[in-house]
Amino acid sequence: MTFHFQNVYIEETSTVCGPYEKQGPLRRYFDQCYDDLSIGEDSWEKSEIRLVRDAIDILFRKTETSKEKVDVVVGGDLLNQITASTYGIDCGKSFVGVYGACSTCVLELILSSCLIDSHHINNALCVVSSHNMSSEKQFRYPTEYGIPRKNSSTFTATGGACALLSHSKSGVRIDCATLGKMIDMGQNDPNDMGRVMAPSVIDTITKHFKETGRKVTDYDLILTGDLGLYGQEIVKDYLRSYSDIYLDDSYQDCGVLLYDLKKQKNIKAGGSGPVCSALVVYSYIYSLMKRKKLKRVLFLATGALFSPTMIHQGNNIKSICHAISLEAI
Amino acid sequence: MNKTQYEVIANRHKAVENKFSNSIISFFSGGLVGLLGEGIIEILCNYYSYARDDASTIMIVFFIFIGSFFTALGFFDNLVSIFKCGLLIPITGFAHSMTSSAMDYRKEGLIYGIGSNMFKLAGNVILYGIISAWFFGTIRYLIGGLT
Repeated sequence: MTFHFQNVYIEETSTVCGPYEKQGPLRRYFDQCYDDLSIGEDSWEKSEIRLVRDAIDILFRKTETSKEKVDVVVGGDLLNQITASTYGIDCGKSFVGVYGACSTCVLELILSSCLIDSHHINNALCVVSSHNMSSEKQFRYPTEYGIPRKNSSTFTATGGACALLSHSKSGVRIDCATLGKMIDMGQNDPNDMGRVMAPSVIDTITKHFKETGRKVTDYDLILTGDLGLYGQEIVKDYLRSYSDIYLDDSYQDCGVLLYDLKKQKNIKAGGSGPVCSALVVYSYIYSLMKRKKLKRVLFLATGALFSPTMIHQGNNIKSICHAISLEAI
Repeated sequence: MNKTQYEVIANRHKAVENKFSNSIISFFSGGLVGLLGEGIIEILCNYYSYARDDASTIMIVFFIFIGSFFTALGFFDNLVSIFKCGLLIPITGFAHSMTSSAMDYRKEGLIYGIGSNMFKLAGNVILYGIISAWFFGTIRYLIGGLT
């Protein structure tokens, strides 16, 4: 399931982050940073909605276009009924809501690219968000509850990120994409998502190289979404042991890049959440590609399709990974 | 993909948990809470002439207040990350679980928010506390009679 695109470009991006991401090494690449997790709102859900609105406003300010000129807005987040997207997005001629857990960002890019490349629409706005506290409240424990966290657990990133895709030539082109399938490897520990999601990366990356005929060396950078410290090692080790794909230093993980894991001890194994990879790719990576420091990047966003209800009913956590290849022009 | 092969590889890259040091910290911090409780009881009994039963009730109320108050001020969770389960197992943890749940859902109103969710975590302790009290009480009655 690999598609090649001829005429789709990332025209502009915008990123807004929370206090923990601000303390990380990529701070200077973000458009706006908040010092307080509340983002000036009185509930965590409203805080996330505000992040979405801010990211959209910044993007339109940067592109100097009006909100009505966007054909399709594709949005997604972690909250039930994708609340942050449905309440935060107030622009565009039409809206598509998607859910792919932490792989949402690439899923949005792929769907938008298909619509643009087939000339059904001229442009699309991809919006993604997550908030550490709103996710904790929904998926784990009350936010003030001080449950000790395992070293393998990941930390949901706080932020909102947007990318405007169109026909207009810009510095970064969307080259091709591979849609992944849901994988169940019998994993059921919500405190070790890297281990849950690593199999889907292995499956999608193998499929991508097979269907495109490309090799690791064809990419300057291979980037996974939010596997964290342990998940990325599993991927490297498995591929080295059971395939001919050898991932070297050109392989990185967004969850590890977003934070300074040595100083920020509470992050544990790394960042996660739909916005985690988007914050890294739409700011740092996009800027490197525009400056031609990176020519071609393979971005594999990973998602754990985790439902607390199904876990309590004794089921496993499925995972998914979608890949997109970005090219600097 | 083979599940067994994957398990072997994944187990090679498992995060190491500091179970031993966490247990030691919890043992001492939990013991410290107990010591503090005993200290309060002794002070109330010896200096304020309270009966021992009344003094332990006041001590429990005091710890419930402290657990809730520190949660409301937003730093009890930070204390737990330092002192581990030593602060969660005593009554302070029970108060912490109720207050944190109530705080999280307060924006959804008194009924559907606080009322419906306050016992989200604490409900377990109450339900199984009552069941085990009944169970062990019955055993105690069967073995030792009413006396």
